[in-house]
Amino acid sequence: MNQSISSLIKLKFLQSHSNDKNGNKKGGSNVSTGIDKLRESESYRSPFLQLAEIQEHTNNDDDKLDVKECEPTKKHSKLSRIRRKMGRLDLNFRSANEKGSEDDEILVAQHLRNGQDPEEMPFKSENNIDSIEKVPKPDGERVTLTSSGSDNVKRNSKHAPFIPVKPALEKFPSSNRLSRDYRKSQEPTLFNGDRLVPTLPTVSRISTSSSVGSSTAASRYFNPSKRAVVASSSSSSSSIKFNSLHAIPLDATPQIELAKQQDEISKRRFGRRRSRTVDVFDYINKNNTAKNKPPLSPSSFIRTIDEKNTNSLMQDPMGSRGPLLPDDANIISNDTDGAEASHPDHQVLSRSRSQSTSFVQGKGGKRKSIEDEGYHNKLGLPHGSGPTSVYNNKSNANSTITGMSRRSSSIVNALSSFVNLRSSSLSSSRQQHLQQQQQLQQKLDVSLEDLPPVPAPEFSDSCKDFLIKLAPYGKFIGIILTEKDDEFKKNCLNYLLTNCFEFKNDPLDIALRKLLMFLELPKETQQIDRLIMAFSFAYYKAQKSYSKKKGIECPWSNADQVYFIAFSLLMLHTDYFNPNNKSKMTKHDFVDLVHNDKYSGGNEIPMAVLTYFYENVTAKESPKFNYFLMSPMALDDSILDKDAFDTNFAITLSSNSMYSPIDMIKRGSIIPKEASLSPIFYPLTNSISASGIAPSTAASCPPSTSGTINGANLGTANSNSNRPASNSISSYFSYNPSSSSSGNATLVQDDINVYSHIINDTLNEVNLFPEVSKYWNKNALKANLLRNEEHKYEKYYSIMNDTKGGYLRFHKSQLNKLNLPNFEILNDNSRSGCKNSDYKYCKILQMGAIMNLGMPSRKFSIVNSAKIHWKKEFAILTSLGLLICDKMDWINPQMMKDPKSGTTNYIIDFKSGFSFVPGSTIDVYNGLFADRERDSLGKSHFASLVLAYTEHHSTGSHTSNTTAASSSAKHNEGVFEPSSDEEDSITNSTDGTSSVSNGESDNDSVSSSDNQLSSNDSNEDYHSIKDEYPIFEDENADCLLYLHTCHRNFIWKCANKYERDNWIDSINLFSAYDGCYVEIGSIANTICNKRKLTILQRMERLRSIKSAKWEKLKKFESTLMLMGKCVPISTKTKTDMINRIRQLAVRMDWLIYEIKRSELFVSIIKEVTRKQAEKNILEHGKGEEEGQGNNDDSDGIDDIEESFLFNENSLQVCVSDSSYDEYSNE
Amino acid sequence: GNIFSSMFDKLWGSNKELRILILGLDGAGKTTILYRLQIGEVVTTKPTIGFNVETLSYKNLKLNVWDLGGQTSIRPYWRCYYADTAAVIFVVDSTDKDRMSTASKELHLMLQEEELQDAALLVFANKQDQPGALSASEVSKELNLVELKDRSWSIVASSAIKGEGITEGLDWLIDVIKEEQL
Repeated sequence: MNQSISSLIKLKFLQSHSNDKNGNKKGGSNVSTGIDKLRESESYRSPFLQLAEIQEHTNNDDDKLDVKECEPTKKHSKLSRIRRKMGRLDLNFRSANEKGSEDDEILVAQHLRNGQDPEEMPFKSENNIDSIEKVPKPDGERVTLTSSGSDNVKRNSKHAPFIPVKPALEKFPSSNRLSRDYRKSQEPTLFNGDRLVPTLPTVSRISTSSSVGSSTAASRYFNPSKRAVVASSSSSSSSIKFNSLHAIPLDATPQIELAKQQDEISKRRFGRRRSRTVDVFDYINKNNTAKNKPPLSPSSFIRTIDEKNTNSLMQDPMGSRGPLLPDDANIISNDTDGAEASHPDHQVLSRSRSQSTSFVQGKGGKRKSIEDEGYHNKLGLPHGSGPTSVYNNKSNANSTITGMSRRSSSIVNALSSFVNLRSSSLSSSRQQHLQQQQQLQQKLDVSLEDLPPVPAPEFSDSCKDFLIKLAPYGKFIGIILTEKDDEFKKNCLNYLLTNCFEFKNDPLDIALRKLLMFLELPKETQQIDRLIMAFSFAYYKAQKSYSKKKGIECPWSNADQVYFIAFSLLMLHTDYFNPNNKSKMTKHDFVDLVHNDKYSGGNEIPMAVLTYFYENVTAKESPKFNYFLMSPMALDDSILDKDAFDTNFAITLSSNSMYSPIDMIKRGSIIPKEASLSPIFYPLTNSISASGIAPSTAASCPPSTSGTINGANLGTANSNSNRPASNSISSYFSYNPSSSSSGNATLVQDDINVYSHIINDTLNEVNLFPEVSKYWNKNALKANLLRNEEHKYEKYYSIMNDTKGGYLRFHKSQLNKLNLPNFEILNDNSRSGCKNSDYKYCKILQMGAIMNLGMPSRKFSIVNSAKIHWKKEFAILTSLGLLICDKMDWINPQMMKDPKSGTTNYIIDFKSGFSFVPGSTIDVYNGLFADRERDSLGKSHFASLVLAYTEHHSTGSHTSNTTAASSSAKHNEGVFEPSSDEEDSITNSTDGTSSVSNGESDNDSVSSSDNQLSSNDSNEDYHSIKDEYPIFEDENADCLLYLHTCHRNFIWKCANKYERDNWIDSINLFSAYDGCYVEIGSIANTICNKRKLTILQRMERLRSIKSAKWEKLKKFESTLMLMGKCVPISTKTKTDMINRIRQLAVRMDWLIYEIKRSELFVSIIKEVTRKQAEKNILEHGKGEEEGQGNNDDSDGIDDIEESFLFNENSLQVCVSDSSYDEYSNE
Repeated sequence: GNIFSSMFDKLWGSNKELRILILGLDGAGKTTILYRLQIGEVVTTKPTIGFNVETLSYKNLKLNVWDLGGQTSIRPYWRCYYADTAAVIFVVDSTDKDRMSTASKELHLMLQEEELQDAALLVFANKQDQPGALSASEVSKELNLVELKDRSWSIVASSAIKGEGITEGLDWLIDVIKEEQL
């Protein structure tokens, strides 16, 4: 690999060298499409000197590179531009002329290798490049680089490379050999820096061995223009061919190569460079010979290059332009048609190939430096630096090769910019190429400096006016508007972000990506700051109005908070992706940092969302997007290597409008490079010229095409004609396993391609709102728990009040068996020494048989019947809570007259007739709440219960599964315990016995941890729930009762609707008064739940619960919306987020449950109180006539009769069990 | 564990990177200086969208330099970055007399941050190449640097464009850091 890379670098040198040559030729026929580049380079003069100069300077360990400009007039603009680019290094170019005699030394002769040293022949020449590619045989094969140049070119060290070279190739088609002399004796001026050393050590040796100019066998030939090496091996005549190639994005690949070299260098710092003359070949030789490794096959070179190119094209989200790259660094390719013709055997890289992978650069166009991130990674190269290579060809066929600098990409690039050659004469046949190149240049990365000066806002300009003026500057508008702290520009920026971007549906991180996609981030921190500030303002505004529309609390409290988070995200992005930062923030760091920030409101952002932010930001580096111009001519060769351009796109812009991404997205005018098969033009230069601003880059806008290129004119047509294209963007962007883009390191297979969704405006297809609606019933709050018909609260209230009624009698010893909450004893006469104290009573409010939805058990699952198993059970609602027993034969009511109150009561002896497991306690259920509908209070409450059943039926005979499901369902029932204040109140009032499980613990922690637990084992289950499992709704929907208790939830089927409503009312009434000082009529030794609150306190409490929960719910709701907006990039993030959404939904369900319950209880108490009051008034009136007591008694008795569901007559029935037959027959 | 390892690092001088913040008002030349600082091995990377961060090694020390501007509003975010900061480089536009007081205020506010108590301060009185630039001592006076207690600080006249003064400043900084670290 090293070998190939190093030799590749050599090639690059040669290439650029050839560029020089071409420039000297002044448009000779050999000059191919690279001509325009040549034109660009104002002077190719003595690039080597300059290079040397720079090198020397660097050698001094003085980082200030002082290179003075030698040709100020010509180069001025270029240099200044370069300087800007290279601002970091601040290279000053010194005139090469100043160098004096040393200049010569700089020149390194390109040597022609003789066959004498076969071992040193690294390249095998192949006739066909393709074949070379296919046949990478490095071993022992000789590689001949053929040049069409003059035969036996002798190297003349004294020949400066800068001397114009005649189109030797054409003139001497037959002479194939280029011999190049080494200048051993000369001191190397080029590579002085230690860092540059690596190539040097071999120089002396090589020069001795191979310097001889006689070229007999094979001469190496480097194809200058192409990354390809064409070698002619077979024939005795070695020819050098220059392929007609477009400019090659040298900066990228060479950088990588150089980086590789640097790597090498650092590994082995020879430091033993004696000769300062460097030949490219030397390096190759060194690699090949010094290491005794087999010569490198050109095919491997080619492949490397190809790979590199394609890779770099495909990838490179960010590094489309190195910061240090000079704008105009061009490498020019030469077309040696003559050579081709004269050496038909030796095939040259096909033009189309070269075109497809090469970029053309030109004036006004930016060099597009492509860095292959993936490749980088692959190579483990920390940094790339670009090589500069100069290929010089003299008319007398003397060619000199200058070495290269590997010092830094910036230097290299700077140098490469010098290499640009100008070709003054263009043949007409070249004209097209030229234009093509010029157009191609358009697509290269453009920097603000290339654009015409930004117009200053007129005094009369409104924000919009100014923005329209700025529209041609596209993504640079952000930079323009943040350049100075200017109020008007700030307003403009706000205007732009508010009106031309749509953020309302985007999560913050995606919105930020969107922003950075369409606006380039300024460099200076304060400017970044301004942009983010305006962005945050716009984002907050959008979110707020969105939330308002949806009737949801805005998740963001103010723009400052957004700003804080946005800034943090950008910081995180820098931290995570900037290779210069070695110590990365962990997820924990980030979440902590933001979450602990009370100052800026970071603590208000839910952890789940922060985690999502972290994962999403780090999932994919925010690439730098480039605009490009594509011309029809450029397209004929599919310049674009499909997958290369996923960060590039073309935009059509209608005239007289602002630069409006929202508009572009809506119109679908963003066209990915690859998809655009019709001319699409980046409006930049065109609309600028159209708008009357003289483009400084006029050359880049050739007249022949400018008319058609006019983006304004084509705007509509393009947007129409390209509609399909823009639709195909998704296929383009989206992951396609078969495409070569699969190699894109930054895109994992199942990751979402955010940018394609942004462009296609399909973010809403990948956000989490579907998940939210799956788990969260947003109508739950509107649920009406009250029935239309009259409730019977009052009836049950009077039952509760009356002494007369039914009682369950326990023996003292039996109380232990009951899992009782804290209770108190009413009318306790044990203290007064009454003998009856062995028995305790508890008041019965309602009792009866119900059908309980049985938990599927193994026994039933074997049957695998779709029939629902309703289990006959007997429920007794008492002053202690709800007792559920599965047998009722022990129930044998007796009429007993209470001596004290004088009432006759039904007494049921509590017998241990329950078929409970011996030793276990009998649950007395508390915290009751009955409802008619399953999910009116949220989807989660009965989900697991239903699920267990559903599972049971779907899994059929898989008993183990079923049991597991049912057990997990049970578990979940416990887990989804309401951990409410309401429960707290019960707990407190009952002093926290075991029956109230988690009442006292902290709400949030409990439920979150519980939910965490449950999320693990029931996540999948949730997905399989059929939301409306018909079993429970179809039949007898009117008879179904959904009962919440502290422990678990039940689904009951009552005999009929009337009974069901009785149960609901009795249960809810009991619960409403639970724990309050309500008058409970009782005989002696009656136990009931401990009472702690007055009714007023109770009401107050319920109300405060309601409002507190309401507030919390609102907050959760906005959080849920926040999460629903999220567009998780990676699948894992998505899964996590779904889990969190589900957990949140469950918590919200409980909030709703509490709210609704409080609401209902309050209304019950109110109603009862009101009716009592009415009744009292009535009774007072009555009482005057008839006396109060009788009425009460009779009423009470009636009620009791009813509530018991059996009077003396029915009692018999019950005991005889016949009633159950009825049920079962059903 | 952390405490020990960090002590260890300090005692034995590990390879740990030292974090340096470049602060200053906008237009002071922070970015230019940041890249000027790249003495020694130049490490070029593709630009990451976001802030300017550079790594450079100088005199056997690895420096991780963050260009964080100095906007008051974003200060809270940096807290985590303050923590490990060995030094602050504050860049002042010596020609910008109008905003000198603002710069001074910013600087002193910044230095009040708890996490920056131990950080050395290097002030570059930048843009010396331009006419009308205040001298280093004048800038020092404007910035009230003398008021700084318990802090190693230094002010160096510099011209980032010309590259003057940068090395001197950095040399000083490195010396101080080394002293404090060892």
